[in-house]
Amino acid sequence: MGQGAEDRKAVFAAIVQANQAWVRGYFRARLRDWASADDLAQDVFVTAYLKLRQFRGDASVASWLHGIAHNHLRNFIRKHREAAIGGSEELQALLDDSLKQGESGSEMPARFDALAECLQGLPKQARVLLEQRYVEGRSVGEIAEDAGKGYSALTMQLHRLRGMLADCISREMRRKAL
Amino acid sequence: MNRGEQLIARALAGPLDAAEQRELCDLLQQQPALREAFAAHAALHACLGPALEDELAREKFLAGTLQAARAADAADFTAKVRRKLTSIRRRRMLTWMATATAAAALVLLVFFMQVGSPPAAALATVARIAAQDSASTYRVGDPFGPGSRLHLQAGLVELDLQGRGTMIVEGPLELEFTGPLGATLKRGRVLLHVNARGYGYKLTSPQGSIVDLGTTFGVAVDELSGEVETHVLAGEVKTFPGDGNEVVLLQANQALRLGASSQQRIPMNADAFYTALPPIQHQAVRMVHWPMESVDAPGSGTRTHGFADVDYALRFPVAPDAPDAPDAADAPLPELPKSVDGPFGQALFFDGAGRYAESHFRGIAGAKERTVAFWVKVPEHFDLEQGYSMLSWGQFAEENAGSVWQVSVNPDKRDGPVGRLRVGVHGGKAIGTTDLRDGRWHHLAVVLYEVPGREFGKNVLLYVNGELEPLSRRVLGVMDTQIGSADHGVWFGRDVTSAAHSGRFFRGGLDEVYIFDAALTQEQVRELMERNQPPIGEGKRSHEWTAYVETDFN
Repeated sequence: MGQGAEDRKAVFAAIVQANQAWVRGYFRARLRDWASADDLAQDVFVTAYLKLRQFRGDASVASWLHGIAHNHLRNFIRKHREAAIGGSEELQALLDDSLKQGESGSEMPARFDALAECLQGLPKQARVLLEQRYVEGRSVGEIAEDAGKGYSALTMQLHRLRGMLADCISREMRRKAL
Repeated sequence: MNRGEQLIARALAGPLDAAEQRELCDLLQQQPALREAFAAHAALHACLGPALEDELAREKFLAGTLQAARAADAADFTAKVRRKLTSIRRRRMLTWMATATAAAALVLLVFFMQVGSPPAAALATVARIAAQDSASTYRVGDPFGPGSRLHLQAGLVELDLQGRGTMIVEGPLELEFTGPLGATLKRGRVLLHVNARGYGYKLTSPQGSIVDLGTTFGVAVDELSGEVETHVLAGEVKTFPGDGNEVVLLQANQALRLGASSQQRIPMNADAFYTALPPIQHQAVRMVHWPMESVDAPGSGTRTHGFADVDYALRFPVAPDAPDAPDAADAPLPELPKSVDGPFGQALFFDGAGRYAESHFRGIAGAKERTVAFWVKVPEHFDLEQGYSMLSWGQFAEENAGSVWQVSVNPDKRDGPVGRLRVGVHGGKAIGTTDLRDGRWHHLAVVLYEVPGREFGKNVLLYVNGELEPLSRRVLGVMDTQIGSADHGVWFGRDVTSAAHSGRFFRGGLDEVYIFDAALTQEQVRELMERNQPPIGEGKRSHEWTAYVETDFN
């Protein structure tokens, strides 16, 4: 294998490692089926690999990937009618609008880094709860039953945790911007 | 916390009801700040999984993506060459041979300049996929070139060795292709059918190498113990333990176990390997579905599709062999199963004391293909006697091997690890590896596909939570499920061998029970698990359910 091909592979692997988390997050925010979301994220990187030579560097890699992700999402939605967050398509449409207004492709990796740092500072119990919900994929009902807590209490606890993390991310982003 | 925040929290925890959806939509339209908060929470909700994952999960995603990119690159190259050739052929019909050759050379030259070298020829391609873990994305036709690896956490895949034979691989597995006549197995199980063109195929393992001499052989690498077993089903192989200074010839029906510093002849165990994948299904699927909603309306939701349109609703008798069976006319009956929350609506929880459920449906006869799928919740503290039967049918007789079909939580440590999914036919049995005794809901499926003869063992696949379950034990046997002579229909929660062994009833929850007369694919099993959606159109409701709907809802 020539040096050019090896270099291309190394560059590509670095791009995947640096961006895979937020690209998966991008799709997971818009699709209820997170397995399909992860498949689409992989498709984004495959497209990027095939078009790597066409990338001119006029925008950041994150913005470029964001554009590819947007196209894949549009094609996917055209083919499949996904069940939406909260069970309502109208709700999902409102969410999509809000996400679109608030998002900037180039900012995504930095926000994700900030999230990773904020997670480091979480108390152990809070981290365990988040891992049960988001890594093990357990439902709120299952976690509540095992923990002997009420469903509503746990729902609100998760909401507060997300709120605290959102505040922490904003602080981190401001700190880094200084 | 205001109402809008509460509704956002609930929307991200699970589906809202219609009134809540409406209320949240209205609030979001009125309050831009709430819309922003919703977007922030939803974005975090989506990112927390990837952010919390460990390094291993990230590496896995990277490896899968690199492999997908390589495959796409190879396909893209082939498509470009094909398009170019077609175009040239159209333009220059008279000199198409010369022109096409030149064009192909040009395209190749450009490719060499851009990429460095053409994609290596495939050493193997994916021929069939019976099952693969949810993290794997292999597709039929995927090529494996020199140095490429096949990873499976779970699954069963057949590979074509490019005219040199076939390889059936079973996860968890890590296999690297090293050359046209060789591969390295780091862990997992493979069965190789090597033909004359593949004579001399060499499989390298952590404890030595195995060289084919025109044969069918299986190799299992146990990652934990480091031991390697070679079982020769037909023909001969040469094994080279350790650094290869010694040769051990193995012939048909012989087997060898290699350790780090030991080697031992062991009995050949043909049961240890899958020798074929399930056939592709073309026929229409028939099914019966019991949603297990309530004992008060046992027919509620019972659906049939393709089978005779009769009442298959559940009844809840007390077995005469029940430990709590009343010995006096006025003694209280054992309790009916209780309705509990299930994965889809309500489920039924059996207390193991003597109540079971029965349907007039007789089950699937003989050795015909079938699938049984359902949700189960097995308590953490569980008397193994209560595991004998979740679902069963057929007529048990001590002398009739293979006459029944019973799906259990393995209660007998002599047969294999207890607490695991087990299917038995009275003689033959297969036992999985996941301990079900954790008080949580698990989706189980047992798939039997038809093979010539009336064999049971290598034609059964177990699934737990949509993933192919590696088997801890498999015993081959004959199979001829007797339903014509049976004095009962399908039983839920009662040991089918109760004629010989009394008082064994299931304790635990059952939900969304399906019986199909077909071998479902993994995708179909996952559809059942994720959406409660069987691979048919809209089924018919039983008479009783129709009446129930008309009475209570119309």
